[in-house]
Amino acid sequence: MTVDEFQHAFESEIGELLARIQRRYSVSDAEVTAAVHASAKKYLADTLDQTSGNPGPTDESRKAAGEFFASLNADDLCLATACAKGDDAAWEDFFRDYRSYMVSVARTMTQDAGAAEQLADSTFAELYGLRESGGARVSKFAFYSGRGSLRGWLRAVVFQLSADHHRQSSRLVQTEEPEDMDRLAHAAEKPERRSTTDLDYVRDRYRDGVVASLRSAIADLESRERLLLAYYYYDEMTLREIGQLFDVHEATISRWLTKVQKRIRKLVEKGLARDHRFNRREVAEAIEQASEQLDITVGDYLLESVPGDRKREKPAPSPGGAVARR
Amino acid sequence: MKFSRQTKDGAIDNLLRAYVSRPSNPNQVCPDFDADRANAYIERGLTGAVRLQYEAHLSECAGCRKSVVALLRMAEADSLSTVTFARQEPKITRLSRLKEMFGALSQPQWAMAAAAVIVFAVSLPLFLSRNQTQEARQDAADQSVSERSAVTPAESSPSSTAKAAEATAALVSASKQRESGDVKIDALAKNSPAAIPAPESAAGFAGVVEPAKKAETKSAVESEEAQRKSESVTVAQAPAQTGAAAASQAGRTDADQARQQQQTEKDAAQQVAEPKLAARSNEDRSKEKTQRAEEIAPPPAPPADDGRGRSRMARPGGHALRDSDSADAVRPEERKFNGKRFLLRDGAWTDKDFDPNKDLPVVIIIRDSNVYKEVLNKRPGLKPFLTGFQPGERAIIVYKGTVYRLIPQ
Repeated sequence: MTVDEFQHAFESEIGELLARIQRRYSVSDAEVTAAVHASAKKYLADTLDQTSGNPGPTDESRKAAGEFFASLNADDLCLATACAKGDDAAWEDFFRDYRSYMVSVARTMTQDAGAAEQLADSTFAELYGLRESGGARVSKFAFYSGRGSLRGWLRAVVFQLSADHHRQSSRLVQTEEPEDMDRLAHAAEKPERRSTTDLDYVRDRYRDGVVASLRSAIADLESRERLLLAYYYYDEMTLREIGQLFDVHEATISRWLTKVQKRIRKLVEKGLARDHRFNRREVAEAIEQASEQLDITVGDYLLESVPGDRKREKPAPSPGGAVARR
Repeated sequence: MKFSRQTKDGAIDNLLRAYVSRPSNPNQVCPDFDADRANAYIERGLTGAVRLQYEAHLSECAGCRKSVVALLRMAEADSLSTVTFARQEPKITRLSRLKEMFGALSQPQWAMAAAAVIVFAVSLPLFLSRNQTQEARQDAADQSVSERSAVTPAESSPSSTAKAAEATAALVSASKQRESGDVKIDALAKNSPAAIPAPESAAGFAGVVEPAKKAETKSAVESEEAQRKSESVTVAQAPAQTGAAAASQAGRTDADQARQQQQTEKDAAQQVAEPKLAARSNEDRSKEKTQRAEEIAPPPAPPADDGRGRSRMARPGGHALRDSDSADAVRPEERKFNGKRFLLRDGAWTDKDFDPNKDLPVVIIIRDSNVYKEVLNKRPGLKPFLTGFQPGERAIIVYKGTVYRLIPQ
């Protein structure tokens, strides 16, 4: 859908959005519409696709578009558009309102005043658009969609630039924490510790069965359930933090986790019985023993072994599971 | 909130902790990380299918998830600092609101209105109870009069005399009870056979009113004699009646009855025969009051921040309210000017709106002085108050947030 088609299809919604903007700077209606269109292409792609073939948007499309337009931060989007355009007044306002905030965010990330100033300056340069593409200046502001606040977007931009800088500057620096190295060493020792006693054999059999079943169970979970487990166990987020992201109360997250655990148990039990021919007693013993052997390190990490993750270009996991970026 | 051990599956939880958790690598960033999308997700700006898509990506991409978690924590810290900064403003506004509220209350009109409401709330039950007592007395008096009038024609019938005596005794005891706070007069009056006058006595009552009036003096003398007799009897019998409680009670009842009769007769006689006397005594009383008011020196102005002075100022009213029996004696005189009420307190006509506890500006005006004339010119609303009092009278007027003390020359 082109900008003109978009404007024609959602004329009234665009009119309402334009009316919401308090200060327009030198941004014209067409420029605002183009910015909104770019945002809609990113977040309203399905609706635009449905509408593009029809003479007008359906009720459903109009409803979705209405929600999208209502969620846009019109003033922030206009300021970003004006800054991308190089409007002096907009830049003046931007400096006044966001400069100190960006420096403080940079300081939080770098933990160093000088580095923070440097990071803030480079972010400003990115925002202004020192790079050129086809003879035109490319401002980072062009990527702001208005879906979140400009302040939050700036925080994310500073964070991203900080991570990029760190990654570039630490190519020759060890990126793992000392405890990561401990775990790697511990994992490397693991195969050597295999004993040949009957008891150890049973234990290893149980452990391998549980690990395989657990991996399979996690892979069978829905993406949201996996995300929940990842937030809680992998990222070590608190229930409150997860609740913020899912927009529910922490008690709800607790219930969800309990539910996911029950589901995993069922899947693991089923997997042990089906794939490893464990009887009911063995299943119970295997889970119990494996849960007590917390020093066991799995060959790789379960969340990295899910099929979707393999699509990404990631370095192959080491036997210990730690990703060494060098 | 912690994920409760009681609700979770301990074994599976341990397994997940052991297998899913991994060393944190803060530098792990997804090359496809989209700052705009991540921020919109954190700020819950993503909805529907777009959100689900991004969550699916997050469930698989540890790098993006790490960034989202870091950004969420930063946003939280940011919002906390913003909230604490923003909370300081509401504090100020709350304080200012409180100040405004109390400022409004400190306005004399509101303060006085509040004080008036409190005084009214306290005095209403007392006033009502006092009215009840008065009504009870009135009832008792009326009924005793009716009994007396019923007694006179019933002299021919001894049975009705006995009934009347019983009724009087019952009424006297009932009125005593009512005075003591036990309001059972209605029940008693209903129970007493003579309380509801018999048709004969009712018929006789109308015809006997005039003779009763004529015979008031006679009956008064008789009742006095009866009272004296009963008193002498009771006094004489008292030492000897240590064990005879019933007899003494009967004697006391007789004496009370006689006293009651005497009182009602006296009242009736005064009302009928000497109306002028009452008027004269009233005149005397009012003269005395005005004389006293003139004689009493005006109280020195209490210091603005003297708590004791304030309590002293507040006490008389409270006393008058607390002691309902003496309310008539303590209740100050009252005047009204232009809707304002003034009470004579400590020799000064004090505006009812005046509260010594309020530190209002005070203007002392000496009558007929230059200030007096100037105030009259500048504040024409004060004129009815300033000119309404007699030249020798003192007054305290509250007008538009200022206290004006009018002092004679």
